Amino acid sequence: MSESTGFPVLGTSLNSSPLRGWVICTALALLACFCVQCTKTSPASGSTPDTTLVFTDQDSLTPVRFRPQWRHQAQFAGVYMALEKGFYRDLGLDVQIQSGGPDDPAYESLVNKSSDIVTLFLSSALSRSTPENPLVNLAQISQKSAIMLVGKRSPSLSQIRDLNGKKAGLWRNDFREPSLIFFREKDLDVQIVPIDWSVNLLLNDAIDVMNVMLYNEYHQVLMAGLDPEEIFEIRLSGAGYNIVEDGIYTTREFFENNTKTCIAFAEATLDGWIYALNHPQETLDVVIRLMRRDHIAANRSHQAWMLDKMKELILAKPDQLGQLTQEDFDFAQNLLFKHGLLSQKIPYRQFFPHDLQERN
Amino acid sequence: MTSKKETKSFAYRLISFMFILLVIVFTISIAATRLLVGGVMVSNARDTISSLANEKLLLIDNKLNKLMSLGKSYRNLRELDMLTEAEDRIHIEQMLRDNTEVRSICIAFQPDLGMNSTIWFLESDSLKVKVLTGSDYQFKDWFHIPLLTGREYWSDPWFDADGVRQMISSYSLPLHQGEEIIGMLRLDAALGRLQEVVLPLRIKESGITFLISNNGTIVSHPADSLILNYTIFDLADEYEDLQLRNLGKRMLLGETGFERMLGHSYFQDKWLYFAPMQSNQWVLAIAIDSSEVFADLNSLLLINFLTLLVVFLMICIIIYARTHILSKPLKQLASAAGQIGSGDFDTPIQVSTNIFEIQSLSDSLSLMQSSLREYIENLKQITAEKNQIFNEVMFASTIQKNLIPSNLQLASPVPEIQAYGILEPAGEIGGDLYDYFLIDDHHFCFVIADVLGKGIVAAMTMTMVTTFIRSIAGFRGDSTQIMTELNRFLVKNNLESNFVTIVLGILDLRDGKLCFSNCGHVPVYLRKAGREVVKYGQTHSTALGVFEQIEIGQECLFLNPQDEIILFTDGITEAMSSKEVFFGTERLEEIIKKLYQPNPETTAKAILSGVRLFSDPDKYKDDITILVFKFLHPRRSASNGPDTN
Repeated sequence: MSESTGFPVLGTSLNSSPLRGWVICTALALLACFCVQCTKTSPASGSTPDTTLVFTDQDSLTPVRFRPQWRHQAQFAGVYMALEKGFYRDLGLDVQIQSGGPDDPAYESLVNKSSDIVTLFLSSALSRSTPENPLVNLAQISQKSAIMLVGKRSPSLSQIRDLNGKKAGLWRNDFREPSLIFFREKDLDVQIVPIDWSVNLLLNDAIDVMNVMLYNEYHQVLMAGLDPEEIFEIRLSGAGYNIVEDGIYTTREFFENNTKTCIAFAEATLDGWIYALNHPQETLDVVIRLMRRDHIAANRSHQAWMLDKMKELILAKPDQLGQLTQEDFDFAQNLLFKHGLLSQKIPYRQFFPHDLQERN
Repeated sequence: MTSKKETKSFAYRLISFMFILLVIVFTISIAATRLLVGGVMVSNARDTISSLANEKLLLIDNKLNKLMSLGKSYRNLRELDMLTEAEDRIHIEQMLRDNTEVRSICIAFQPDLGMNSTIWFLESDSLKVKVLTGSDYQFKDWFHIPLLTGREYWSDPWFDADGVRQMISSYSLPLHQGEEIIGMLRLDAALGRLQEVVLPLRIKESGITFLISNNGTIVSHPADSLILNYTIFDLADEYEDLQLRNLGKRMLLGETGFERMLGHSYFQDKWLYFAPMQSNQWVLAIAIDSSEVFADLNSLLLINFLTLLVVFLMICIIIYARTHILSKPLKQLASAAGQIGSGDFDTPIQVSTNIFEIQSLSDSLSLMQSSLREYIENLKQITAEKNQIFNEVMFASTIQKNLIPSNLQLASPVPEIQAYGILEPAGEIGGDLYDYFLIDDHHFCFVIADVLGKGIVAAMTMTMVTTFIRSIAGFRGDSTQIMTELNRFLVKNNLESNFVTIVLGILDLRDGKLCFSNCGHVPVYLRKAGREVVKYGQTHSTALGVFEQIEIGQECLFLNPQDEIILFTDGITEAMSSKEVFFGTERLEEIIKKLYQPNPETTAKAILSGVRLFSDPDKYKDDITILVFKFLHPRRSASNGPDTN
């Protein structure tokens, strides 16, 4: 079908019968190997979801189950590249990357021990770290907030105070604390509408503003035909609420029992990120491959945008790569505490117990 | 130096001209054709494509409109609570069986109402019903957007994992209880069925058809990888194609258009037609190669080009053949002209042609031949006459030169005198003269004169003057008498009214007494032995030959041994430099003063050299005459005492 159109085809066409035969055979063979590997490899806590990706199988390695806080995308490229380039294996880890997203929330999987290490926003991690189940930050990936509030610019929505009385879509499960703090700090009476990730609510005028990430939904809004000048946007980082986001977390219990493993994971992940940022095209190939394997809609130009923006966030403080600075920690904790999103303050070193190696 | 122009044959010139002409005509023709016919082609292509597109749009719209009507009718029944549970089930099954457009039906309630939300669909020809578990469905676009807006909503295609487990596009209608929305009625259309309508649509060879949802997502496209992964704006972004982005915005605004995609684009060199659906505001777009839109025009232009090429080749052949025939008599004429040019005026000019211009040329050449023959004859005669005149002038020149004393023979005409004269006429013969001779044993006569004008008349006058002076000098004692006689003679005999400026002096060799008359001539210089220069500028009358009754005076002085008398004509003082400055008397005096132990020859040559250095040959046209004599000493014989005048 696609071969006769004369158009460049971005995906692989399987319509030519000999090629299709080979691809099906190869896929079946890979599936068989995959099943064998699944039965041979026993992750730390037993059951492995169907969506778990297994890249390696070496009995001598320490198994680690990692779950990102969202579906596979360039936001977690450092982890993929660390696995792809063997950085985890080099440090004695057998990492399994699990699927994230609203159907597989990262924090919950950490609590129910279906994952060992996850990524979380700092605000989410702080608010969910309780004395009974304290969390530990192994590495702080993003050094700048990427959260934005965007709406369609109009005479009735052109400045912050116009948000009064407006419907604001905030993610229903996670990542909403910084926006809530912003509304409270600015004393805005906003009608909060819990939403999923879809930007269609905004595009169809079901809500007036919504939470977006600079590297993800903001680009989707642009790619739905809205020009930047047609968008009313608030970058929380620029509005004085720069709560850093993506970090690598585990439970204190797991950290204390597997300190070396945790540190090795953090170090290898940072190496993976450095590799990813230096090799964007190769990284995008890997990301797209993973997304297609997981039947996630894969758009290379969107992933390229995401990787590019992640680079900005990660290198926002180039000399603090991977570090959760006390300044960022205190700023986030004080804001959360002030607004009742945190019941008890946590000592910095208890939350971020280990400094990472310095990288150039 | 002039370079010879490159010559080309008639045929070459004509063919080149025709080639340029045809290229211009062809270019104008292409431009005009493209301009006039191009618009028609685009219009035709647009009509054809829009007709096909509208057919498909109508087909899809009919399906979707039917689904929408079913939904609205069923919602009314639900909201009016007119159906029992059993009737409801039968009604839903009937809708699914009778309308293949409806893949599944979902009735979902707000989770907090505690009511079962169900999905109905046919599987293996039997009705299946599934209960929606959990409450996450309330955040799906199909539920959430119409809930918040209160309006019906067509969703983007999505994978219904809870129901039919395939890609569907859902039409959702809010279900009300009173004013409150209690849930959503959802009728699903299978995306595959919509794609089936669109994808077989092929326009000519290259045309492809695709669907875009109302947020720009590519819903249907021959390239599978684009479907639901890319928006039209993603494609624009990937190729940095602003035109496509603007076009995408127009598509989402519900506009219809047919535009050529320019520059670097996913749709490079294609025409893009787009039109909205009326049911769900999706957009049907068709891309077709520009070459296909203009295929007929390009064929027409190719035929035009080939026709023109054939015409050009035929014209070339005809021009070459005709010019070959036409140039034959011209070649004969050229040959005859060559013969005439080499002096053969009797060569026959015989050209047989019926071309008026060539016959005229032949006649003209014949006329020219006879005229040339006559002219040459005349020229020969005139040349012979001119040569004769020239010879006579040369003879006159020789005679004139013989009339003046020779410096070689008469450098010392008498022991007391040393003399040197220079006469250089501006032409072959001149009007200047100098002369000196002994009147008797003791008196030395010298004369220098300038006859107005040049040529034969001046030369003859000069001859008359010198002959006359020599003939009467012996009978007239002093210069005034000689001059008076000469004046009278000239007035009577000078037919051309030429007048003569003259200095005539008589030196008594015994005591050095010199008496001279200056009749309108330039000054006379005396260079004393002690290098003192004395200028005698006073004239003693006007020039001779004009007025019969004139008084002529004279001036007398005594020369000392070694004194030099320097005489010259106005050819010296009026010699002109390149800056048009006269040589004048001051420069002359400077030369004379600077002479050291001169003799007449060195003095005369120094003056001539000075004049030549000073003057510009282009402006130096007058006769030049210099006469210098030196009084060496008084006559030593004491036989006779000095004469008295």
